[in-house]
Amino acid sequence: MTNGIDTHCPYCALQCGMRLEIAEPGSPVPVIVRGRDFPVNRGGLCQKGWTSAALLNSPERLTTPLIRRDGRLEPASWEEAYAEIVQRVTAIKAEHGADGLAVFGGGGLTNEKAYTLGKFARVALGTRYIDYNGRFCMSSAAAAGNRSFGIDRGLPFPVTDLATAGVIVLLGSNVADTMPPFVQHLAGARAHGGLVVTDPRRSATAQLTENGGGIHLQLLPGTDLTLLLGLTHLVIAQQGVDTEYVQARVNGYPDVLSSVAEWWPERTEEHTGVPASQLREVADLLVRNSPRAGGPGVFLLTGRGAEQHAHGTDTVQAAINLALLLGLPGQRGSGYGCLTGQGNGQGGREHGQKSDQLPGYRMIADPAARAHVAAVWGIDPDSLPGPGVPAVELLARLGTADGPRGLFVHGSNLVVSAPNASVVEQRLRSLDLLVVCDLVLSETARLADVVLPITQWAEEDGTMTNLEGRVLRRKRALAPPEGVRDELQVLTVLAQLLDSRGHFSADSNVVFNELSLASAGGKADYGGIDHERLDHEAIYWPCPTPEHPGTPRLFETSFPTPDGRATMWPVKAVGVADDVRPKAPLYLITGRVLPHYQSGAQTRRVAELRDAEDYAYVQLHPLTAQRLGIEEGSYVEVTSARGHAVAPARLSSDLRLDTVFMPFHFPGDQRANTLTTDATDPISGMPEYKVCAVSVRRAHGYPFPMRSAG
Amino acid sequence: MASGIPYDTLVLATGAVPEPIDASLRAAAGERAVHRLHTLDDLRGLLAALPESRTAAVLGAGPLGIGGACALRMRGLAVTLVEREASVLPGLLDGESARVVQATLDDLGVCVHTSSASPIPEADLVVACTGITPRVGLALEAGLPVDGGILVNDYLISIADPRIAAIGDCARPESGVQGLVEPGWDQARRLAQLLAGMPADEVPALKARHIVRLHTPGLDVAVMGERPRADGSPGSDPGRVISLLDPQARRALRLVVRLGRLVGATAVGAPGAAPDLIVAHRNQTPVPADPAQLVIKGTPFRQTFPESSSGGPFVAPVCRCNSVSAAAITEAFEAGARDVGAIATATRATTGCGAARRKCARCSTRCGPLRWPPEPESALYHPRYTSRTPAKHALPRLLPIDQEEFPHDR
Repeated sequence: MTNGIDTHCPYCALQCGMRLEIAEPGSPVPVIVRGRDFPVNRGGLCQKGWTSAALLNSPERLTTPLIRRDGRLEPASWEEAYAEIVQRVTAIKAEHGADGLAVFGGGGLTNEKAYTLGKFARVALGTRYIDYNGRFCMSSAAAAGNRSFGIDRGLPFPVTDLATAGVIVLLGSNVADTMPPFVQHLAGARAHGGLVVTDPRRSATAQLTENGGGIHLQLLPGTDLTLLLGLTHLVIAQQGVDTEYVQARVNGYPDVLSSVAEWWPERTEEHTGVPASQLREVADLLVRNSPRAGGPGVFLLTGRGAEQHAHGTDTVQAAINLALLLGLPGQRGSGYGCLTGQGNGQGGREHGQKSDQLPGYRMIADPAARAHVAAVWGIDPDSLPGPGVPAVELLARLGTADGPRGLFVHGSNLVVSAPNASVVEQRLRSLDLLVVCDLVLSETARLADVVLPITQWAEEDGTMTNLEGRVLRRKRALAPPEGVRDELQVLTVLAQLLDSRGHFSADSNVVFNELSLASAGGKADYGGIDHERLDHEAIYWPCPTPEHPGTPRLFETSFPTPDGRATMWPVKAVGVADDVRPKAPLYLITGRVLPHYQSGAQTRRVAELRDAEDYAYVQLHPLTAQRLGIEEGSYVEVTSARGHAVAPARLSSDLRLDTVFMPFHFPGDQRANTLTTDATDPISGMPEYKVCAVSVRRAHGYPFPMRSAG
Repeated sequence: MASGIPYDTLVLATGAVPEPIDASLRAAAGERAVHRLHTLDDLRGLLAALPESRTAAVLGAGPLGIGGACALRMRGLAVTLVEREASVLPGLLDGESARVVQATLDDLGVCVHTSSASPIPEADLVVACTGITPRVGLALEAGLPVDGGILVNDYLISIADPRIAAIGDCARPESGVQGLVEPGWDQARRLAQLLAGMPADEVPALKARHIVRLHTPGLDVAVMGERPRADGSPGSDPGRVISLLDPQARRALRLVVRLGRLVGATAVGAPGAAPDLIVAHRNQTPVPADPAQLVIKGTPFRQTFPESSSGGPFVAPVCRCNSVSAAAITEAFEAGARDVGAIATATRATTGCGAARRKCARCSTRCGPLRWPPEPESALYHPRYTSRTPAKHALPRLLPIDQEEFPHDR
């Protein structure tokens, strides 16, 4: 069967295996998508994956650059667009210096693009201001992982290891909607009654615990950390600590021991709303199934629900502490992991898009790291800028007196996806130059001064690193439409026109080889990987040499820290940044729906997905709705200290009485991120997307009830 | 005192001691030791005495006494719990709720004597849980005002000496409660922030709401906020009082609601409802239009609400990953798809997480898709779940469902 090109899905970090076959002429889509047997998906795809080809020839596809003239975006040639950018970049640089420019990247970009974007910012523009939307996804887990394990790889084991576990705890993750084919890896734990899901909402994933599948802990929003401290207390009280493992492999246990003394079950119940009896039940499951007790194994997995908080790093830290004292990391069939969200959320954070990092997870403030990368780039290490600032702070500085005046956006739709989005929108509007690369005219592209139409997954070559830290080949199946260019080419041309030092290449193979050199010896070491090897097999990093087989499982013998041991850190529970009060007595939580991905810029343009879900909604408990005089389908206005959003109501007893839910994929009036707070984690810079205080009321001036769209 | 330690601010955190054992109690105990449950050493002493003891008398039916009595009972002792007042948990519970607690203790094998002025019952062990007294000796010597604790203002500063603060069990602040650990921590946090120089208006106020929680196996009590007032008592709005009294099931719930907020609650024998009541009280989040729903929600009954689930099984997705409804599968079936593969090709059902595969196989081989049973095992086929707001007129089931085969159907 050589018909077709083997590649991976364009969407989430599961990176399901796909085969693309060129369709007959006259077909509605240019390629036929087939599921391919790859370990993460075993041939399955969700509705987003199956319909992904629809965007290739969508009429909404951009096929020519656009330049804003007299306030309107008008078609232009590539030469005009480049000239416009170069002229305005040069002017900004002359007036404000290199830090007058900034770059905002994305976790969906290939490794090659992410790497080139970081290099473009530091070398061609010379700015320290670069960060990316992965700050909104993985930063808390990354910070805690680095702090404890000395490394940050989402899952330090293959996804298929989950099969044999007796218990899998999903802390704030709704995989049944966000990465549906992942659900098959939960089958073993469910059959064992050991799937534990913590979520303020009875999500599709939480429902997998019903009928003997496990336990759903329906905690109060923002209390994930407290819950983990309470579970840790119970595991210690039930003598579930793997003392041999802790003595041999872990630092810091005594401090953690004393720090959780205050979280006895009834007090934890008071603060989290989770019955003490359930906490005991879960602690018992953890202890009985842990390797120390001879059990089949335990995995603790965190998702954005636990991580997207102003104390997200500490929450992940608490999960890691619990995993370490149960003796899980590094034991076959057990472990801690974080479920990466975006397609290349893992690789995107390893190769230089982060404000303080160079390729290979090297720190930009480290002189040895600077020297290594500068040598690969052929520049003077002293010419490299220093650390920038994380995403939320970067966005807040845009267009201010001392802040950047020009911004390049790649693979991100900030107007919909950034927290406190109205303010971000204002900041973007205040720029002297906004350049947006996108497939379609996204909400962010609409604000741009120059829009550049770029290729998408089936039209480009490169690599992605999935949630397991496994490097995969993305392969070109067909030529892009006329007028569309690859971002590698765009950045290379711009670098040349800006008379940049160093060498840029538009060939993804050449870029990967350079990336591999730049990463060699770093934490995320791709030194032994090249496209040709990947054509035969996907490889888990670190892989330092061409002979090295790659590393499916980390921590089996030691941790990559100076003393080879992992470290626990005591953490304290903190309240939410924007807590309920009389004028805003309900919690808002946000999340995804199955048919849509991220800001919806792609999926909202696929007819079949729009058909499945074409509007935001406000999900609330029928009793809460009754109190507020809200009926199924009536439009409701949700107001926070930052603004308001309007969407039809959906009544569901899946919600707590004190909590409402909105999906965040939708723009304009329906935009959930108008409401969310931009309070951030002091360590990771992660914004507190997952909880804020709101009031809810019937919206006036909207049709009632909402016309059923069926 | 010959020497002193100079200070800018003196913090008194001297705690409390158990009520002294009075002469009559001492006489009644005779030669038996009177145990306490105040320090770790108290507990060690009690544990050491257990092997020689078969019976125990616990004096005082407050939270500590009840917890201690139940713990001793669980270790196999015959336990008598003695209370001077007319009911257990005096001052915390109304009479009816207290009777439910007493009946529960009886079920657990703890013999309860209330209104007891009689001598201590015959028992190998005597444990006194008769309350605590703030340690205020130093404060009294210094001439500070003391009344059931060192009197301090809401900044935890003595009302007489601005250089002396008091926190914890020895202190009696203007607002707040005494005798619980969390208010003490809260006071310590607030005072530390003030002493560290944080502007007074930025320091979070003392938390007003604290919960008394009794959670021993078989007995669950949560008490918070205002108690219901006796009928006809004068004063401000007494609020709306909702009671659920179910002594046979050892259950008593009482809510006090004012202006749509839960200002007080008592929950005996309702461990499912207690966490929701606690959170609603602590956060002062609005209660439902019918506040009784707060309690009913905590019971194991599923309710029927008009909600998004009303689409019913026919329009609900069989395969969530691909938003495939039974209707779509029926359509494929009618168009000639007769096995799982053919249905998958036509509709993509089963091609996501694979959970729908078994359902499809069963239906297409046995029943035909028109008879689409709800799937109890899999939430991926959940009647509550529809991917869009359904039409109000849900399609009826086309054939009756075999309830025997799907006993978990709801």
